[in-house]
Amino acid sequence: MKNRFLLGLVALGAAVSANAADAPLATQPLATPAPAKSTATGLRKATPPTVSETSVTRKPDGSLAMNCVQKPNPKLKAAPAATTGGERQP
Amino acid sequence: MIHSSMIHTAMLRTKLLCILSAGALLAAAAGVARADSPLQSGVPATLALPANNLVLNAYIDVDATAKRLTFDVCSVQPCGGLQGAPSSGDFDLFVRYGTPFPATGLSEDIINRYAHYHAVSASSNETITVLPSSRMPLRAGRWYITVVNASQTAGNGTLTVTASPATQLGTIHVDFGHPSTDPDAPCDDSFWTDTTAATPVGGNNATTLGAQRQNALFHATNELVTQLQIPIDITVHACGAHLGGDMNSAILAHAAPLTYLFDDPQFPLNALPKKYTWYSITSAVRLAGTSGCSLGGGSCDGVANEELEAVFNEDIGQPNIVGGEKFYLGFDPSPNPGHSLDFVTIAMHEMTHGLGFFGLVNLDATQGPLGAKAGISGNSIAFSNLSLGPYDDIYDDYVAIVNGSTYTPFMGYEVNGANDAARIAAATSGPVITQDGDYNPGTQTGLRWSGAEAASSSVNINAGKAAPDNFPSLYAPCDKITTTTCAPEPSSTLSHTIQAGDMMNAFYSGFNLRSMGLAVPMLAPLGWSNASATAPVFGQTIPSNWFDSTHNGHGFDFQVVLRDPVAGHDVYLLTFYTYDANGNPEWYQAQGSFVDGVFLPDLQSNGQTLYRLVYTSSDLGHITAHADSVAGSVIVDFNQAAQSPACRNVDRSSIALLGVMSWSIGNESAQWCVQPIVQLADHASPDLNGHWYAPTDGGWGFEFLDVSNGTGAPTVVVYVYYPGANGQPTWATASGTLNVTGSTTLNLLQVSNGYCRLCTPPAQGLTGTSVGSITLSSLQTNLPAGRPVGAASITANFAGGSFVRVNDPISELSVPPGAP
Repeated sequence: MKNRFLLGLVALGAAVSANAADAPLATQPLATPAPAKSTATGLRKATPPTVSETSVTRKPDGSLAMNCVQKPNPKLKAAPAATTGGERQP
Repeated sequence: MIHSSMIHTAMLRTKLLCILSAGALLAAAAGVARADSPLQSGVPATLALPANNLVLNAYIDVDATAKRLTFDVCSVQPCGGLQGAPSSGDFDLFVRYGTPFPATGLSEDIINRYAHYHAVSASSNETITVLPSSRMPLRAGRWYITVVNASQTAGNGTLTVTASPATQLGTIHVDFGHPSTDPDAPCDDSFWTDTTAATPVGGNNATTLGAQRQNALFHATNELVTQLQIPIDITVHACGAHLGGDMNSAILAHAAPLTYLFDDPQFPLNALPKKYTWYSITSAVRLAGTSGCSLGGGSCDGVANEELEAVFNEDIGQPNIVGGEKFYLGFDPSPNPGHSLDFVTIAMHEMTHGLGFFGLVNLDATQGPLGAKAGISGNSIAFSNLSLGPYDDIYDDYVAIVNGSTYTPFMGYEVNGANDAARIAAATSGPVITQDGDYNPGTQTGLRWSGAEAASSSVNINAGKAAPDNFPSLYAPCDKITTTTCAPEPSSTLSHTIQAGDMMNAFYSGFNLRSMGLAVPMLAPLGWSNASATAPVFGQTIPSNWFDSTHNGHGFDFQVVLRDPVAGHDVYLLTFYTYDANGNPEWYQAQGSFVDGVFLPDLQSNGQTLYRLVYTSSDLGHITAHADSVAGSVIVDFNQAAQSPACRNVDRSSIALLGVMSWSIGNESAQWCVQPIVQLADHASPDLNGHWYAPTDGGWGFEFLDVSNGTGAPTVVVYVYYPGANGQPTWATASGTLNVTGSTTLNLLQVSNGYCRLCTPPAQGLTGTSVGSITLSSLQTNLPAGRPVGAASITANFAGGSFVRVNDPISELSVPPGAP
């Protein structure tokens, strides 16, 4: 029975492989409608807490020194990092 | 088993269709013919997609000469051009290597879980580039493509797949527009359009200040692309801002990736090699071969299509700011002998941080526990009061704590921040600094970079030494500026090198820099390597009873019910035995495929993947049931489970096989860390482990755990699933010594102090109350064709009635362990 089942599949697969090149690709409906994109993603993401920042300081000898430090991300001050998406069911 | 159908192996799914008519439950069967369409490289195929429709399993066969495989879906013609208007619709693009997407029961979520790559922005233009260095590397074979129109309106366009035998560099695009007047995060585009006349300098031949700045930034981005051989596109939002300063100091620039993200069962990012691990969006885009908005979903308009932001202080050059010092905007640094305020160097350094050269471990006591890994609190990355996490981050995954000739991972497996103190000790292991600006370059620290590419790199002055002496040191001063004891310097520690003259030094003034130095090999394992990748090795599972030791008493029976060579996946039946809100035993089921180390359940006709049967009849031979209305879903991911926070709440370091079960039922959801109760090596012989049912009395059944006792009689444990009071699905357990050749009667116990899924386990443990008995007899194994069989009698009492069977013929529903 299993073999017959598989053979049937093979035959059907061969039959459908000869689509016309310029015809639209065959379509079928989703089993469930896609969720609205604004809430679809359950992607785990967030704004980084800090940025790297280079500053310059004039030293006593008159030369300039550059130093890179991490500073709080100003974007987080501007607005909460509301970047985790809505929940999507697994 | 209960489950319905009580049928036989290869026809399981087909048989389940019969159940559909009774219970209106299960998804359409596998094995429905696929209308796969072959594509030719470079030849557009036409898309005409009604709303919520898809093109399934178009495919292209690629040979071993391909070095770049690009998938383009677009609705603007010509593709990538500006002519014509985009059609309506929202095309999403999914790519899978080797085996096709399933034929039926598809939601976009399930398609995404099968996909090795995805592009799911809100637009109808999507691109994915797969390379030999990608996680699922480009190689000869069949690549399947599924395109979904996720909008409520129809859309037209084309799908083009191009296999190229040549490598190709990408571009770091720079957006000089999209200003912002937000006082906390300003972005002034006039910095780039300043028409003040400027004299060409150092190869930068523009004649206005704004144009010179643009050119200098382009020069910096081109250096990054060339030195890293970046093969995909990235977009930088370039801003000016009045960041002020005084005569002695000023901010020059700052930069960061716009987001960090990680792969999690909630939303898989299968292109990322490490699960449950923070990646900068820039690294993630490199690995996923698509833009940030296509990787994460959502709009691609404006800055939403960008991955990195770099902000430059437009007050530099004012007379009252550091004495009027100006940015040097030349490409060639030699005309700037003091190398002061070298714009290209500053831009390269900062944007290298933006590419992911950045550790997330907390070094600032005001932000949370020192040494803590980063999690999420609310919607932000945080180090305390976490709602999710903590998680490793990919940069810190390549940091080592070095003590003499030994070293340990800076991250790695640990429980509840156990290594926070060790991380801080390493992060303060360098020279003492007692005032701002102290710097002792070249002194090795105990905080090192362990990535192999950097350790052996020709730019590493310690290359050639034995590990860990060849690990480049990271900046890790013992900061005594404000304290008498060592404190981490939160501002520069960890994310900078100390090798003298390296671009990623925390202090990099006076350097004649156009070389990224150690950053090239250090960025390699973070996603920027162009070396050919090996195919991923996915997690394994075994048919068994699985449970979370911190939710003892709940668990699931997980058995193979069909080996499906057509799809290339085994089909599993999952029975989740648990307790309802009142602590009463109940169970749910799911059926699905084991794909790339993940149990992916079929979508049922009720739109759920985890369902609960309610019985309408328990009559002998005529058990009927239907799914109730509770929404449920389940995923069990066996890939890299030890990296999941769910597996790090207690010490599981000695457990070889772990999975993360993500479930939701109603408005409850959680991720549990599960492990098998019985290993295959502990099975008794003959091996009766599996899921059993009554073929002529479908609707009840049991899981059979049959454990070896050496030369003694095996121990048997059964989990019995049957209709309880008011048709509710209930379960009970029994255990004892199995008489394989005779009859075995076991006391049937039901947990009387069960606890809800999100509740704390009872301190006194679980208590069993006898509800009847089960007798197993006439067990016959090793049948040449077919499954083990036998007979079972059961009496299970409940309030108001009982479930009774006498000598019901039983058979193993699942594929016996080891059977083909």
